[in-house]
This record gives sequence, structure tokens and C-alpha cells, in this order.
Amino acid sequence: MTSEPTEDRLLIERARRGDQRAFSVLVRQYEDLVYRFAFHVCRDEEKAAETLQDTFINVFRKLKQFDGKSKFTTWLYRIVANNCLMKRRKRKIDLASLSIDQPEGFRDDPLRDEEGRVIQTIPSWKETPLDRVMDGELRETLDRAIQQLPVEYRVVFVLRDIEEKTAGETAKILRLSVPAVKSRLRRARMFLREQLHGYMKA
Amino acid sequence: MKRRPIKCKEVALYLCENLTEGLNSARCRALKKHLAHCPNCTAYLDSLRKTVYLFKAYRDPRVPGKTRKKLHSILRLPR
Repeated sequence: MTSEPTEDRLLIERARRGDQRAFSVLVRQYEDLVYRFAFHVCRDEEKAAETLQDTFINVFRKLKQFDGKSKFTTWLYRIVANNCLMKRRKRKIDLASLSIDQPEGFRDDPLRDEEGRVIQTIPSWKETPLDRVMDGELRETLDRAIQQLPVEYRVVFVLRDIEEKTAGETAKILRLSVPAVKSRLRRARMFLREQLHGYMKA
Repeated sequence: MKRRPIKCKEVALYLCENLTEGLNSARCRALKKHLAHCPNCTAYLDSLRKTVYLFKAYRDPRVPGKTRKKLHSILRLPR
């Protein structure tokens, strides 16, 4: 086992041997984490609830196969991510077809005046206090933006920027290379920023 | 040889990839210098940070009671 807290290691061992109480403690310990991650990826309470159930049914069935080479949470995140990836629907928007290497306003160097001074071409974004994040219109904008992001990119964005996993951990969870994680994260951030730009510019 | 000045597009691509990594490496000195004099890139960096902030702040959901109950019942968890 690697870097697993001792208490978890013991619980996992007991649950692997069929101890129902230990399994119950594990579920209660990690159900919020699984639901939160599933919700951020699916953006839908019903789908998150379905993913939560599927994940723990899978954990129950496959716990004996868990070899402890990775952390238990890495394994959990992987099951949730696979579940969400399997459920993905064909998206109308193909991220690869978007002009992601040409971020808005950066098609050339910035505009300069006659004396060579940079003239700002990218409008600043307005300040958004936390209570406004709960505001209906902004919430809809955020939902729409992330739902348009293909799930392969969304899952990387959620792990890196919401769950605050490192690039290495994210790569391990998704079985991707670190450069692939970085590239997907870059595309996801650019895409989401572009989606919010119209609403957020001051 | 004189180092080529960094372009806005490169700054944007770099920021999008390394936003949360901090800007302390040697390679970042040119970026910092550029950012200090480029309102475009500064605005872009700010908008990227706000993008992440908004998605993080949006909601921190907890399992609804009904969903939790159903899960425990499906898994036949002891109370």
C-alpha cells in the first residue's frame, strides 16, 4: 500500500475480507467526495446520484481487486471518471474544432499607438462577489459553459481546478500522461474562459 | 544572442497551462516582465483566475439525504 492513512488501510483490508461494518465506514467516509466529484462532472443531481450508486456498487464488487498500489481515493476517482466517461453523450460541440490555439485577443501582438504603447484590447472582467455566483443568470451561464465542454476535458478541469489534484495525480487517476493532462487543462480553461467572456466582461 | 521578446499568444498559452503553478521559475521571469507592461495579458490572466474561481465557488454539493438513504439501502449497510 502507498501513502494511505493507517486507519484507511486497515478498513480497506477488513472490507476486502468481507467485513460489512468496515465497508460501511468506508462508504460513509467517501460518499460526499464521490458525489461532489460526480456532480461537478455531470452538473446534474440525478446523474450524480446515479453515479454515486454505480461507483459504490463497483467498489463493492471490485474491492478484492484493489491492490493498494495507488491510493484508495485515486481508485475511487478513477471509477467515477470512467463511469462519467461511459455515460457521455455525443456533443454537438467538438472542442478540437475550436480555435483553441488562437485565444481571443491574441491573434497578433497587442495593438499599439503611434508611440508604440500597448492599447488594451481585452476588456477586464467585472468583480464577482461570492453571493453573485449563486445568482440565477450567472449560474446558468456557468452550467451552459461546462456542459458544452466535452467530458474528457471536463474531468481534467474538475480534478485539477476544483478538486485541486496535482497534474501527476490527475494523470494517475485518468491513466493519461502528464503532458496530456496539461494540454487538456489548457484547452478546458481557454474554452471555459471564452464561454464566460461575453457575460463577464465589464 | 539577444533573447527574443515573448509574445502575448505565448503568454496566454503558458498561463492557461500553468495558472495554478505559480510564476516563480526562471522561465517565468520573462512572463512576469511581459505581464507588468501588458494590460492585455494582465486582463487575460485575471479572467482565467476568475473563471476557475467561479466554477470553484459555484456549489459544493453534499449528498442529499434521500440519495444517501437509497445508497445505504442498496448496499445493505449496517446502521
